[in-house]
Amino acid sequence: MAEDFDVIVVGSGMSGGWAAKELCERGLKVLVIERGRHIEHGGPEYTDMLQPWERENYGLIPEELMDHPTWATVDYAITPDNLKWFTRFEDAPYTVEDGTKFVWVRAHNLGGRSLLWWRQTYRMGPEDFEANAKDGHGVPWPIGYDDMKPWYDHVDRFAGIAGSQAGIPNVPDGIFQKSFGLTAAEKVLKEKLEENFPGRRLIDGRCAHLTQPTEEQTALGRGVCQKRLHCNRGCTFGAFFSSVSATLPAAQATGNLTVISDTVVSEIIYNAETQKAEGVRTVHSETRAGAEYRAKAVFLCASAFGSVHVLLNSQSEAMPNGLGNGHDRVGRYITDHIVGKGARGTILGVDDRYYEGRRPTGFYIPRFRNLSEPGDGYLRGGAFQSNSRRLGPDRLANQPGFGAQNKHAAREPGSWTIDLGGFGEMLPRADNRVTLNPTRKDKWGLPLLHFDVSVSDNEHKMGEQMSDDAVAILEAAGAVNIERTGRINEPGDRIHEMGGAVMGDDPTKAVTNKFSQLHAAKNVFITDGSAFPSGGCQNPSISFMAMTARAANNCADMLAEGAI
Amino acid sequence: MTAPIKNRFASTRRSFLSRSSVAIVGVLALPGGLAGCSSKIPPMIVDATPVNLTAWRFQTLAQLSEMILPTTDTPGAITAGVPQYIDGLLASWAKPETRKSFEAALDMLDNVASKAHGAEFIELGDGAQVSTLEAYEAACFGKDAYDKTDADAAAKAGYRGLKRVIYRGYYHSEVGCTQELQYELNPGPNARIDAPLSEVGRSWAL
Repeated sequence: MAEDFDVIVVGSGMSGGWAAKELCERGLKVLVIERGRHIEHGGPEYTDMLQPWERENYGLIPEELMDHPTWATVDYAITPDNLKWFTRFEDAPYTVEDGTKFVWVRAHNLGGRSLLWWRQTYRMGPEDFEANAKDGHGVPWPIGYDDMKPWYDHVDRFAGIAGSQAGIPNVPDGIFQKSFGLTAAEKVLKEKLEENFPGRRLIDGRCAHLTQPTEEQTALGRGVCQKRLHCNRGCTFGAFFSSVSATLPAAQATGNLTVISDTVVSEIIYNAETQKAEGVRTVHSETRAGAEYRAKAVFLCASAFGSVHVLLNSQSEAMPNGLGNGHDRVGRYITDHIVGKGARGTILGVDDRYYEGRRPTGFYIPRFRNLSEPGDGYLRGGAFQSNSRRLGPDRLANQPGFGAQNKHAAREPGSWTIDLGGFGEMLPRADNRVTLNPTRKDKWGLPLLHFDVSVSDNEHKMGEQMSDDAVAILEAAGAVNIERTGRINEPGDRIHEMGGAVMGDDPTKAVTNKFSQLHAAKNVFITDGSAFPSGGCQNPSISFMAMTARAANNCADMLAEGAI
Repeated sequence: MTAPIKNRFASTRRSFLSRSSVAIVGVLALPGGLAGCSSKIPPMIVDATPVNLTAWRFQTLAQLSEMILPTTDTPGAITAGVPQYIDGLLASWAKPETRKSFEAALDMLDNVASKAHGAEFIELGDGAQVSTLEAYEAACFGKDAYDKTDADAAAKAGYRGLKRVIYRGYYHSEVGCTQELQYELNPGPNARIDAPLSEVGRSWAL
């Protein structure tokens, strides 16, 4: 059968953009299918050049909207400027098991959530790839850090990561551009932390921002970060990494890329005789018109549950439970990160120091529990990802006082506040899963996804110790006004969801193999978060990118060799 | 000399009446009025027409905002367009209970003024306005202010919320960002993450 393309990539976000770039640069004809609308980098949807007083409601989101259960717990990520890029629950509903909660945040537009991410980039360490095999939870990883390292390096070079070399095994160093550095309060915290807790470290936040653009980056129209922190309005400078500023333009430049938007992939067409995929079936998101596209290989990069949805929906006579789901393993081992448990306090002694601009990152205290120090009755651990700031004029709004004296008092910045927020790993469990709702369908005629995910005692114990650790760290730094913060979040609302089509050597337990190929159809590659058997405690996007780049190059080799 | 104001919420023309003439206008308009009464013609604190608030509440809000963040060596809340900003928020941001609580807060301010001085807030002279606002803020931020069984609980919470948006309206405005404090849209790659406060100068608005 004649193919329209060499490879079809489903999704244009963090992973899909990388698949497109790598495959196109290998000379393959690639079709990227995006379910949402087209977005033009630097186009009218970007609002990063608006002054504060030109922004709708001066940056307040309508209260009723934020009361919606879908948004209430992700208010940290939403602004009036980026609200248009968050998919409304009503437009693409899902269901949850009674007694559980799950927040599924999506961005149905070109570039997906690469326009919305917080841009923090920490590699997973060797221990993270070994964890499942070591403690017996989840499916053992079929690859280790050494397999990923060259691809992390590859991603660093192209995406551009600002950071500092630290020599910490759990967050391996990369190829960094100049780091943003620490504030005065963070320097105090670092000194006291490393003095009082040998083995614990505080490092500059690593983020996908250009501070020393390379020729390759400049040629794509990307420029140096202006320290604005307008990232979630879109960055006209292309200073932070997104699909629309970096990977898709690079793919486009090869002449090998075709992108169609407003097109929902409903299923993968499977040929039981060849045991391969032939292409995909689609539904136009507005007209509902159906279509088919054929290719030699398919990359599922539709986000963890987007990809799972396509697999579960790809039902055929040979695969009645969905593609690659003969063993009922698709949809299992769902994880997110647990965050919110921590502490905040006021750092003293540096009130004569301040900052300029708005640094687009913060600082990081890598995981030490169950690495250099034991955890208190739980497995794995968490890191602290935080920021410091001097309180602004609004501190005076929350207390009595008015008039000229009060107004003039706000001309001095307030005290230094540090908020230590923990990011913990969720254990992969087979019964944390997503399935197809047997009765309800979306407007495209596809079954809704149904979530049954909850956190376990392990996460609760980890969260408690993250709070204790945060308090102790702040106390050691001489902080005052220390208070514990947060609660264990609802699963999904950290928008770091992973699992559902996890990789592993054992085809009876895993969905993909160590090359990211579907065990049941070797020309289907799954490289987004769904393929991750565990998630470490690091922000996962850079790992999705590296995994995708690795798989795309493997795929290109296999196609060249006629192996798939 | 202040820079031209391009703030979308700022009035094109403002007339400030002296407090004494405010009081006279108020008394002439309606002796012994009701708090927040829409039929009463308020003294003109700011020359603008509200879209969502009654004229009385709007002028009360204007006076309150200007007292919280007054004109000093830089423009105050009225020049910054704070009353119009908040009037707009009632439709574009606030849910119904928030709107009601803001209105209740403004009415409560009048009630406090009436009890102490026999006239509503914007009808009072300078000294009485200051003492009224002090007493009112003490009630709204005091240790009993969070007692939900209190009949004025919603109004007190409303004032706390109102004060927050007054601050937001001022420090997000062009006046707040460029004249009172400082703001850079594009700080640039050389902006220092750790710098002496003496070299940075005033607090950043944002």
